[in-house]
Amino acid sequence: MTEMTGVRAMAEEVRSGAVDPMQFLRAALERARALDAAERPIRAFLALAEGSPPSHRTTESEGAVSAPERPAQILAGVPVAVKDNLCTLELPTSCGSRILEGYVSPFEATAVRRLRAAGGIVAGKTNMDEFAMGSSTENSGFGPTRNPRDLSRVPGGSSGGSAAAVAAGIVPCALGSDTGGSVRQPASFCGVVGIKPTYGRISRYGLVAYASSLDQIGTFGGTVADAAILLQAVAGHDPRDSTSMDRAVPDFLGEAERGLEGMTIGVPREYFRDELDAGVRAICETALERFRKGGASVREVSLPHTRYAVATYYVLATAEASSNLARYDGVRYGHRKPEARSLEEVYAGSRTEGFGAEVVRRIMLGTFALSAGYYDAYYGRAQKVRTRIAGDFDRVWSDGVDLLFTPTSPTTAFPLGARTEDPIAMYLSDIFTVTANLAEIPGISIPIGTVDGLPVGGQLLAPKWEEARVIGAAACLESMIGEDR
Amino acid sequence: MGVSKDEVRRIAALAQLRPDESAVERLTAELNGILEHIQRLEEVDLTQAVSGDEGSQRALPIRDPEMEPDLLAPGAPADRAPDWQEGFFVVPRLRALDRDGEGEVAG
Repeated sequence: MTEMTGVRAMAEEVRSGAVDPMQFLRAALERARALDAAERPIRAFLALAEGSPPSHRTTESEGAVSAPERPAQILAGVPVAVKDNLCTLELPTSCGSRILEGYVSPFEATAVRRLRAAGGIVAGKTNMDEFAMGSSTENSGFGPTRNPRDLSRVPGGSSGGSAAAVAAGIVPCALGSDTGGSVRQPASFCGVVGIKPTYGRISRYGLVAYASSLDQIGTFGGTVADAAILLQAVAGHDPRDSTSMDRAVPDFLGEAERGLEGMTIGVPREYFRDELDAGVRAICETALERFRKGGASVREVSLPHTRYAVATYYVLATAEASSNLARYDGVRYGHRKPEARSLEEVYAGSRTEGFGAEVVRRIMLGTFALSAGYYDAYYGRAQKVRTRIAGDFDRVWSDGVDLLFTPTSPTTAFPLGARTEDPIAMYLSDIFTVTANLAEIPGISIPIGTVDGLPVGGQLLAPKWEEARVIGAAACLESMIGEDR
Repeated sequence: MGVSKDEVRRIAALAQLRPDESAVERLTAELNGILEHIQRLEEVDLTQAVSGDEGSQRALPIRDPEMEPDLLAPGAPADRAPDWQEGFFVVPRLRALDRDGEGEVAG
């Protein structure tokens, strides 16, 4: 069987003509189908690129991706899994929601278009928490995904399908989206690498909106290099997204070769409190020891507003979601209540039937936070606390810290069903990841060890636009862990 | 600051949702649990304004208010809909708009 040996090697084999350009896609589809035919299926995908591979019916000269400096065919023949909230032409885009079941977009997300322009092939659309609202992929309207490392556990979320597809060896890399940790936390739970770039680094044209001031597309890979090469392919300015920054895209892996010598790594004490799982803490301490061995200096720092991050996130994200999800009204697209007798019934009936419980909960919370009499107390206040959370990071950077190192999640992957009845417990899974979204900074989660056989992720954070710095440090740590194995 | 069941019904109406009575009951309890956690934001001293309090500091680029053909959507709009007349998509008429309640296709 064709092995997914890593993006660079696979693309090289295809470019040199050693393998058929569709060979890796065929192997990916075969493996995905085999895993889903098992007694306990992983169900990473909601739709596979069955039959003929997706046609490239739009040409390079047609706009957004004609950037001449884009490295040619760095993903040649590489199958890439795409989260189901990124619009694709040939495959449905349901966002894991019954309200969009069967919806096929008439346009394609810029990130998808760019990965295709670099030679990549969309292998399928991956399962996710409905509209990216969740931390376990159990909120999907189409059933949960299982963690390939332990089939009784969740893969994390909301990009759980993408993380599982990489962890199961179906594809070497995948696209996800990260609004509060939805790439880094599932990467941590599944033992793969997940990158959330700076807000504005990747165009969100064609990414179905959840919370627009926080949403950012991210990448998964089996290794740091695999995730970084996919990031290289999809990053860059796009006039179709006014929040994408017109800023040069560096050679992420090239710049990352500087090593750890002379780096100052900060360890925020607020991320190592008593509630942190003891096993996770021990693995993090081993990783810090490796950083020291690699020539970095490590020192404790403080991010004093961390305690308010989850509360701030859930006010702002739900407020934005309540507005963004107003468009699902049963008229323009998606599910429509069949027997509705009035326009009001079309709207309210279709939404009530189509949305799952977590989406309803968040729309309700967001509508409340924006409603007359409560706006200043909730939304206005949360905006100001967000500024203080971002200010904590600014102070640390200006104090000479190059990178921050934290656990990605306070625990390893939890069992399916363990937190579905307790929204607050589920929300607190994001406690170490939401801050990077609130501060708009880049972050990465990489596997740093296991506790009771379950992967533990370590998170590296850097100032805005310093993706190469987190990628470089993560690559050094990855190679040190590899050598010790 | 918590919410009552009546308030939950009012918020649901604003959000175009129609939870049944058991859902109202459940949502009231859940929202109050979440609001209790959010309450901690009141501890933060916001008396001193800081740079950024007025919202995002990013200057968003302004573009000319001109329609451009969407190069990413292939083909004409007519290719993407079952029916297209005089520059409009033709959709099934809403039954609610008919006196007799019979749906028909409007031209």
